[in-house]
Amino acid sequence: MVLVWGWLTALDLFLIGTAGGAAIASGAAHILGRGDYDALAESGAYLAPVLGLASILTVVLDLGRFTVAPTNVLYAFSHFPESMITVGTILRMAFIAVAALNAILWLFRKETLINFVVRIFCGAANIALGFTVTIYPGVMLAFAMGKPLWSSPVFPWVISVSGMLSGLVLSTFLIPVLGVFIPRLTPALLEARRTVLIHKIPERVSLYMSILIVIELTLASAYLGSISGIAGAATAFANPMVSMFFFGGFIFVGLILPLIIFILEKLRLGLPLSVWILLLYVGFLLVAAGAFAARYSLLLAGQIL
Amino acid sequence: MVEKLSRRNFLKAAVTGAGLAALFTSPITLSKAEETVNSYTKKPKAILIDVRKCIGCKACQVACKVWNKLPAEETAITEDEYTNPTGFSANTWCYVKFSEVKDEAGNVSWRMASVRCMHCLEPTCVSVCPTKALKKLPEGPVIYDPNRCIGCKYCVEACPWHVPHFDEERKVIGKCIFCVDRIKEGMVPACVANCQTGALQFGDRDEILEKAHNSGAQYIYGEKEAGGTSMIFVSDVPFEKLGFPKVPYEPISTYKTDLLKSISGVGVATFIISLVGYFGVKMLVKRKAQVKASSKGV
Repeated sequence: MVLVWGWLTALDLFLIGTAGGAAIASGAAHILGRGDYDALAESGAYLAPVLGLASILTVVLDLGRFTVAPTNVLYAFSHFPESMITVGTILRMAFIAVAALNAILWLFRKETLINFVVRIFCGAANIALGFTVTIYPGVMLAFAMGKPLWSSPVFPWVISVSGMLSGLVLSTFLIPVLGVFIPRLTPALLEARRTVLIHKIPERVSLYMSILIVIELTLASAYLGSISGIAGAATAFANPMVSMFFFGGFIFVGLILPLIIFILEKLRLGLPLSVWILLLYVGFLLVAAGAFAARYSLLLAGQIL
Repeated sequence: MVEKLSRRNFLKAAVTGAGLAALFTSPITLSKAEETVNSYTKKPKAILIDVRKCIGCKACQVACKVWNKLPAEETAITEDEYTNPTGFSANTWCYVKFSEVKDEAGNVSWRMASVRCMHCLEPTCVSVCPTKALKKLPEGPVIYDPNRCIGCKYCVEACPWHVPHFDEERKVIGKCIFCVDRIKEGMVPACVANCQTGALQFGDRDEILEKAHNSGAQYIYGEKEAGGTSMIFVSDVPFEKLGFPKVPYEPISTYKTDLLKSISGVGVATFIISLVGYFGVKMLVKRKAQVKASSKGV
């Protein structure tokens, strides 16, 4: 079977969803975190525009006519608001612009009131635009009348929450990584604050991740329930590739396994702290991998039917 | 005695010769339908496809290839059906769908249907196209402009009948254009012109619908599907048995509005349930801590 939208499209949906999720995590951490989560806010602020730009690159690579008519992409803005791709293109551009501004504000931040307030406004705009870019790919797919498996009203929310999750986990995962490369964060990695950055924030954030995972599991079940009446849906999900990526990759590896890790970490059953820290970070990677598997399997399933 | 060639005889012979030459050298022969040249109007056009009259000769399929200069493709007859090719491609815009139909007594009979782009009254492909490369003309055809297309393939995914296909070699979308070049000249589409049995008829949509309703056929397809299409099928067996997809009656605009409302509803419900769940758990934890603290105090 020849797929019209394959792994490159899945990668694009993953990148833009994760970028939106990172922006939401950054904005929420800054506005609601009372300073305790600034490392997460900063990490998410850098991640969002980078992933947003990477998603644009994958979209361009995925376009069938870019090599023969590159200037035609300018027409992509011309069918507003009728075409969801046009809506999405405009949203992506606005999102990347605001996310880049937010990242610049964080990179050159000064502890002044004006800088703080501007970052608050930028964070709020980032949350709003981040949310729209996490949900729009799902809405775009749902509008494809010819693909009944995408036309469930629950479908965009599965995609959206998955994006929020992957954005949050990758932003958290990147805190120590960015700490090595960004000089201002480096001192934070010194002895006194090491535990706070590497363990305390992820430990606290994993609680919110667990809540999101439970919501995502509920939505995934509701989605499967909503399509159960569609003829051929069971056959599509019984396809070896779809079932491997959806049930194996997305549900088990990307949601259930990390949830078990996050719960066990809270109980601290006998293992030393360093092992729990390592397991937490493994859990973050599993969630991100599951988010990609979700998009790939759902794209695949929709096109099989 | 050698008969002198008069002007009249010469003209007669020339016309007969030209006619015979055209008949044998032309890859397609024209049926009676070609003679009925329509006066061109901007009224929406349609094709009536009478499944009961189709004999599966595939003249429509060949005529489409010839008129639109579409290259032949390597095909194969599959074990379970005689439909060949088995579906649309960037170079197959029209094909004959063969269906084996069993009645209640177990008797088997065949139905053939000539299928092509449905040229919906409110086309999904046009609605989703971000660049307006696909356009609906007032007279019915949905046409494609490669000079605006970016190759996003959203139309390929969105069409309920899986009609548009992307040609990976030529980097263009391929689909039936309702022989817009012919109908603008007052001619009927090539497929209709070559139908030998009258299974295909072309005309203004309202007239075609009237013909469909007066045809005595039990089942009509295309009148209401996706808000109405320019291809009106009539049959004596249900269209599900002929492998036609069950497409909602609502047009894409209503479909999108209804879906957006449902998506918003699910969102609000998810948000409320999440909030209740979150604060419920938080209260539970607080209460547990209070109980623990009070028991310690005792």
